[in-house]
Amino acid sequence: MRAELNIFHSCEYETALLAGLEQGHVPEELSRHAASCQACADTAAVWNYLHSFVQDPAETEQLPAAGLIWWRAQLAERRKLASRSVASIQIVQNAAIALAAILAIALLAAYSQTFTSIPALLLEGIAAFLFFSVPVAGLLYFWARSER
Amino acid sequence: MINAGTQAELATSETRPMDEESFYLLYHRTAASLRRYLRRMLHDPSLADDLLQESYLRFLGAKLSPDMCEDHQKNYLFRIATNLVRDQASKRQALPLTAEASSTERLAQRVDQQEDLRRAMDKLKPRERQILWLAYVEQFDHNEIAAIVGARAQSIRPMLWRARANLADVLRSLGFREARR
Repeated sequence: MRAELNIFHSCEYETALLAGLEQGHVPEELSRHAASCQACADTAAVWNYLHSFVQDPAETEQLPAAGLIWWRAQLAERRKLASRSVASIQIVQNAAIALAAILAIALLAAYSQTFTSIPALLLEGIAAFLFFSVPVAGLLYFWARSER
Repeated sequence: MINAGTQAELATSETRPMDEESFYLLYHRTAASLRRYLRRMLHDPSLADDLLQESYLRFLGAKLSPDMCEDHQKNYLFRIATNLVRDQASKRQALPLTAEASSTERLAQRVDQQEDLRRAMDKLKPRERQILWLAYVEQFDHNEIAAIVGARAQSIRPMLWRARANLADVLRSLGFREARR
């Protein structure tokens, strides 16, 4: 019996007393001993007190339905997946906005100086696009793999 | 022990989450005892039911391996529930023990006394309540209790002894007369 291992034994009869309580029958000799032993009296009182709740009719009230909990768990899981998808879309959106802003600034800068720097501007645009899109694509790829 | 086993079992957790049938079996095996535990710690049946559901939701959300043994599943559930109780305790103070007897009505006085007795455990520290229940009712061993309440296994033995002595004192002061089965 596992209960035997649990309690801080300050009396050699406590193990036997606990076993008796668990089995629902405490031998007369042990009962007499418990009446004169503080440790055993405490053990018996605490054990009986705690187990009075176990036998309480109020405890037999209907439990929440397991099906409902399972359904809520599935719903929570779907919500979590949905929020992750939304987060990834958000990342792409932010990256696109940032890229567009950089390109717009570069274009404005180029046109404000001279029309002759168009090829350089094109290279800068491509470089900026690669600079932002490759890490984003990498992030999305690893995220998608971790989801599987 | 809960930790080593649980960690090993968690290793396979990502691939095969618990199926519905396994969950029902686990629920029917553990829900009644977990609710009793929550009710004794909280004294609020509806809150206990809420935390019961939350415990299972978190358990399922943890995506543990279905290969996890029954004892570890139960330990893990009690650990989640204990953490939830701890969170609740930090949000609201435990209800005080009503020590004042009502004036004349005997019936009311008797109800008060019974209520006092029911709330005798409130006189103890939350952790003492937890370890007493886990040891005497759920019969977890010291290592399991330590993992559930977040304490060192070596400290459980003296804590349990102190908690038992404290509760026995409270029970005596309230006139609890044990009825041996």
